[in-house]
Amino acid sequence: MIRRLIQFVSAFAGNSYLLGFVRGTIYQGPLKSVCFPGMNCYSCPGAVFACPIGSLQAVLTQPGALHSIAVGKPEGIIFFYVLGFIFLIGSLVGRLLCGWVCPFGFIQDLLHKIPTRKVGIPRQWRLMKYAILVVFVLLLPLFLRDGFGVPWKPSADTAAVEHESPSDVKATGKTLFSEDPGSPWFCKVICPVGTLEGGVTLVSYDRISGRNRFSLGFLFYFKLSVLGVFLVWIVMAKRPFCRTVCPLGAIWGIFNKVSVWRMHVDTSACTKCLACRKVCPVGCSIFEEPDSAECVRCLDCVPKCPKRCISSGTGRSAAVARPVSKVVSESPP
Amino acid sequence: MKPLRVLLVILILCVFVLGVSLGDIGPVLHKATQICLECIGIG
Ligand code: SF4
Ligand code: SF4
Ligand code: SF4
Repeated sequence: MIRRLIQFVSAFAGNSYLLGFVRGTIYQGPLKSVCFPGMNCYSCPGAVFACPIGSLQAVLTQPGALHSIAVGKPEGIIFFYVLGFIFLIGSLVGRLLCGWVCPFGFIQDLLHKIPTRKVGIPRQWRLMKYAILVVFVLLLPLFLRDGFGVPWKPSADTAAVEHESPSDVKATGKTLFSEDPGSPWFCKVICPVGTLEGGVTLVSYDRISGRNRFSLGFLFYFKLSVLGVFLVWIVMAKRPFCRTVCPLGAIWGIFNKVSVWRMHVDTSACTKCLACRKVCPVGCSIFEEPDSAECVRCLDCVPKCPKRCISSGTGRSAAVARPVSKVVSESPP
Repeated sequence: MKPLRVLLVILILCVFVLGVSLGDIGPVLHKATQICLECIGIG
């Protein structure tokens, strides 16, 4: 199946630094400044590109990040590169790369094939990913700072502060934005992608090779438990990480409604037979909402619809444009 | 709707190009080329 092949090739391409697995190190070349169009941890020994959600947090956790962005310092402007990268893909194809390129989406698709009792996911849980995006990817990395606990102290003279050295700022307390770095909270306490691709691989490498680079504490075992919960959940439910947690999917999902590439459903021909929902990797009822933020645009449903009412493209779809009677007469009884 | 969508893509492309051309890739590269302790659950 072509989608599986593309998923495999992109997962391999994104993690093709095989030396990393042999040496227990990570790739450090210039390609690491290029974002990968999917969730792929940059601490994976094989990762050649940077994770966009990790990169977004890396920019926001810099000392005085908001200030750098606001006054246009080069280390702040790079925020627009990362955000622009994510938005550009979203505005062109919405969530399409979730279905075709993202390695963690691929892993979830494969794990879900393990035969066991399957469960659904309550509809409201999908809202969680937006809260996670806002709180753990944006607000906490920006505002929860080491040392002070609070990020900034009001100052009467911000312009003057800009010219002071960090030590002066600390001494006088005159800073609008903290000079302490923040933490990438999504990576730190939630992301199972990092635990699986980076944590488990590097820690296993250390155990096997006898190198002891990392001292494992509560946080590691906490993240390992989060990963464990996800792995079980992934086997039992369709793509739970994508549907309830992933901040990248949350952003791209919003673009599903306005992107250039769209899904189309000829609702007048649809008999609501649910054949599309049965094959959907995220359990979408596309006939109810073709622009749904949950649809990963895998196109699995397109050939499965007996009435051929689902299509995709940049313009008006063939199925929608075709007279309904013709569509019906072409379909098997 | 269509021209608006094209406008949106162009606007976002500008943001992206602005970031690439004026931004300092350093912070991203630094984080991406060190083993991120938060990602692996150590830091
Ligand atoms: S929602 Fe996130 S994890 Fe799922 S496929 Fe999309 S980018 Fe990957
Ligand atoms: S498979 Fe086609 S006809 Fe059946 S519910 Fe889905 S869109 Fe409607
Ligand atoms: S609705 Fe269709 S295209 Fe969208 S995710 Fe489900 S099967 Fe794929």
